Amino acid sequence: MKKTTQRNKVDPEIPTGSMADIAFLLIVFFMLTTVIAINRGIFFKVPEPAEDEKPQDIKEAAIYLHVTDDGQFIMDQKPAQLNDIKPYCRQKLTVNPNKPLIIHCAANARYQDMINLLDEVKQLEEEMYGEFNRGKPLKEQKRIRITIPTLEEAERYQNL
Amino acid sequence: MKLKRGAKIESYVPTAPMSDIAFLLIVFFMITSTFPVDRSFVNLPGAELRFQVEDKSAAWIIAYQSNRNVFLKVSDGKSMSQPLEEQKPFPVDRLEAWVYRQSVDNPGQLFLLKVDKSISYFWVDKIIMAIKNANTVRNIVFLAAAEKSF
Repeated sequence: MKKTTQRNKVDPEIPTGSMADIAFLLIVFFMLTTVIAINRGIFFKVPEPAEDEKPQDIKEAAIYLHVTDDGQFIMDQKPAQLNDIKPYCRQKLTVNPNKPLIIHCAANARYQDMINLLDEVKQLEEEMYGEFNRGKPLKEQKRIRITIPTLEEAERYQNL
Repeated sequence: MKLKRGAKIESYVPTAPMSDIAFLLIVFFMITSTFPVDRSFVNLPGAELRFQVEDKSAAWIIAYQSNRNVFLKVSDGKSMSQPLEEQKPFPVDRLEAWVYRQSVDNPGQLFLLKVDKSISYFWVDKIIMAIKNANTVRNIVFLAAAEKSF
């Protein structure tokens, strides 16, 4: 009997050629959907409420910064430019670092104007205490005593 | 003398390590990618000095303007932001209750305020009032963009 000829032996293998295609498809998906979300903003510590429900900071004793409805700045009852705020507050806070600072915005002022003012004060805080605060936990950091009264609270201050 | 021709070696580009590299990249993207908590289009106010925050650990309050109305959205920082009340602009009473519940469930939690820069301070005041009335929140961050605007 004639012996059947043995064919070339085919090695068993899992085809991996398409794996790279799938992998790159997944990469493209993640690259398109990934959002590197870095949120940054101005940190503000809400002051502890006073025990006797009365406002802690009396207007006369504090630095009073006001934003009017039309976006003008008033600094201790005097009109001021945004650039004037930092030197004025620095001078006051150098004499008394515990002096509270009140930021009072009129109802129709733009949010941007309030942020501009807060940003100036925060820059001053960084200049004054930045070096000291570096690496320290939040509780031990030195800060300017900033108060942002609500419109209701501000009205109450004015009636005092 | 006639030289014996050796076996012919086929030229090819090795593609086996390609999938290794690809999977390595996938793992990198899977680990680093974060899905944003809020996709609302808000023009943030500009500020020079900004503090970086870990958004996953913070609660979000988003205020945006649409058709001259101001709407509110909130998020606990883990799930996508949702309107506080459908169809109703600025439900301030519900905001106060939400802030209180959120801060009691997660004591010491940071609150992020994502507010459109063109919104009048009147609305921001209502948010601050809700936070103050809850009496449990101490740390808030006013989200801001890099460019200073006037």
